[in-house]
Amino acid sequence: MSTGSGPAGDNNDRLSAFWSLFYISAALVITFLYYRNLGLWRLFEHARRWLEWVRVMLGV
Amino acid sequence: MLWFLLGTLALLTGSWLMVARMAMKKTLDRWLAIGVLTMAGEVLILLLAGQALRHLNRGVVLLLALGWTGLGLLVRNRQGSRAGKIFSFESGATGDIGEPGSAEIFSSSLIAATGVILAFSLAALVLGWIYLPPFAWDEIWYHLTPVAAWFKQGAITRLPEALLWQHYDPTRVTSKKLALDLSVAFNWANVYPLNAELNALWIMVLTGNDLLVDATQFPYVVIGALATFGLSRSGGAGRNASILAAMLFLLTPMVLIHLRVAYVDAAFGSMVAAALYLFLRWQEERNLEYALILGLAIGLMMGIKSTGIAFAGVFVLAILASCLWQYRQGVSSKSALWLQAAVILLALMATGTFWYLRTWWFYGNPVYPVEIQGLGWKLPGMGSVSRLFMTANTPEAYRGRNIILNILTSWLELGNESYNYYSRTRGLGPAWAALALPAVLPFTFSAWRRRRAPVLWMVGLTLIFLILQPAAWWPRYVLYVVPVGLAAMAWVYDRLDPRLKTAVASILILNLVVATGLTLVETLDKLPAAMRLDPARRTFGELYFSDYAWVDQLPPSRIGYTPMAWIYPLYGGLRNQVELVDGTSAASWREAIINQGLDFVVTNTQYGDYDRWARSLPDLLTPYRKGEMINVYRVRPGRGQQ
Repeated sequence: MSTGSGPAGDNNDRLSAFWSLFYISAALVITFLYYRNLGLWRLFEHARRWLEWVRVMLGV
Repeated sequence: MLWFLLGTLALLTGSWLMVARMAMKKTLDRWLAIGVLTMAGEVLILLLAGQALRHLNRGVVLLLALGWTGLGLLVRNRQGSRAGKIFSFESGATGDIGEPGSAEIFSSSLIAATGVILAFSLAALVLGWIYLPPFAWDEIWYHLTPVAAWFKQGAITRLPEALLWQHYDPTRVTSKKLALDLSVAFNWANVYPLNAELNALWIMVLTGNDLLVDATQFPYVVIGALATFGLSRSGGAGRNASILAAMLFLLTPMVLIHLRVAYVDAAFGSMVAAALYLFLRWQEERNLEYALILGLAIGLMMGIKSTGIAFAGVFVLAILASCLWQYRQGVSSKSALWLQAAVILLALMATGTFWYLRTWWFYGNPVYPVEIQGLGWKLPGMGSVSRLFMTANTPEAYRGRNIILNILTSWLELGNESYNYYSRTRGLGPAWAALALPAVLPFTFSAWRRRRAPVLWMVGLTLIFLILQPAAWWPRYVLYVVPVGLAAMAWVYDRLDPRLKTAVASILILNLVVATGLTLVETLDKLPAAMRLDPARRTFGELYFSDYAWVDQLPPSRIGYTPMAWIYPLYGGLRNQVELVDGTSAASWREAIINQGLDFVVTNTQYGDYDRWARSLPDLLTPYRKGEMINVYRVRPGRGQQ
């Protein structure tokens, strides 16, 4: 067992098809749940605040 | 500000000179060592000035900072420089941040896009530091209050509430009210470890004001970002993916939010990550320099938050296990290992034990008021962590529910809270939840198959920390999982098919834009209003809670307060003298007001008889302001100190 903490020189190996599928599926599902819950929509709710920021920055 | 810059520069220079003498192999390690030594120097200087010398003022602190520079010079000249150039960009093939080809970093559009989001976020934060006053619940309750008191007294002392409530009887209140009452009674400041708050003290002492105190956690978080890069490299990720991981650590919603408030959670998570990375590096290098920096980092972490004492115990056990393994493998001699273990322990004690010893001395238990019990052995306290802290703070939906389900709900961002400094059910961000958390499985699985010790150590120790961590579902309590998750994400990203990389990069940028946008708008919501105000009106009373607006109109005054929660805003940007005024009856209280020469007295109408007494003393006190939570009385002129 190596105790080395540097890069192990396995930078060129690819993630297997199984783990790739698992990873991208999980990422999509979790992202979907986030936006279904609130996420992006809540940002739109804050549009008025963003506008206020822009106005202050522009000094108008 | 000039004194602050001078003092900080002296501290940094001293640390830089010391590191120049050390045999640190990687550029990253040298930067990290400078960061750890700087924060260790700050803690030691302030404890020396405030506790040992009892002369906590600009001159003494600056002198001690110059002494730190002198020490650095002495260390460096003792045997000459042994390390490479700290600012060299020509280090060899170790793949650290200093290797040639830095320009190619910017060829990566993902890194460039993330960099733009990060630069915008940091710029907004800097505006927040400058334009907004300290406002968050806990910082004006117990993080900044003792620091302001020490600044005014010129010494590190216990707050008077501690003396007043030393023999407080918890049975006279309900368990629901207990958390609130304990906060009032002990102001936490007298029993909590306060290493991170010392950075606020450094700012106050050297600038003479509190303009930048909300940036208290910033230096620790920079160390955390460096550690994230290091963990990512140790995990086997490439340089660009590791730079991305470091940036994503800074863009974690709860880290961004906490960079704006003088809390300690981001600093704590950062130092756990730093200790973890340095532990891996120490195992690899096995020399005294790494042992010293590792010990200091563990000590700093332990001195930031009480959970740190348990984590430090885990690190010490891991270090001993590693020593044993190294000895059995014949990698190191017994005497060399003993020496390194001793250096780690001594360094840890220098930066981490002061607050625990202080609490032990005064309360008979280093982690008071948490009761410690086991094997027929008991240290006095007021109850378990669960009873004292978690009962009142657990969201209704989380009570009695499986801990794993609570963790998943919160870490996967399925809560409905806004991104704020207190958020209990979200805060790690959709980028981390969607791309870092799922990466931990293939990352660990591959490491297990290949017997890759660094990954197994970082994942294994983090799991142990989570088992020991109360309320592990609360994102700000577990920010140390973020760097490990990002190290996994960086490793996976490097090994993805190029088409999947594009998909992942798209998800990442979308999630970053949304989460960062929400975080900034929700935590800096008062910024536009503050930027329109004159500097004198950018205050807590004007922007957040009008009960305190009267403080802004005062010339420097002496303000007496009775037991209450939010004492810090009374300091009015450190212009006022603020002190407890107490008595056991109206007559003794009246005498105290006169003897202390106060200009104003503040009462909390819900606490004790003080407000009733105030109204019964019209010859001494006249009503000045009536607020929602506090009432203010002016002491009649000529009735002050006699």
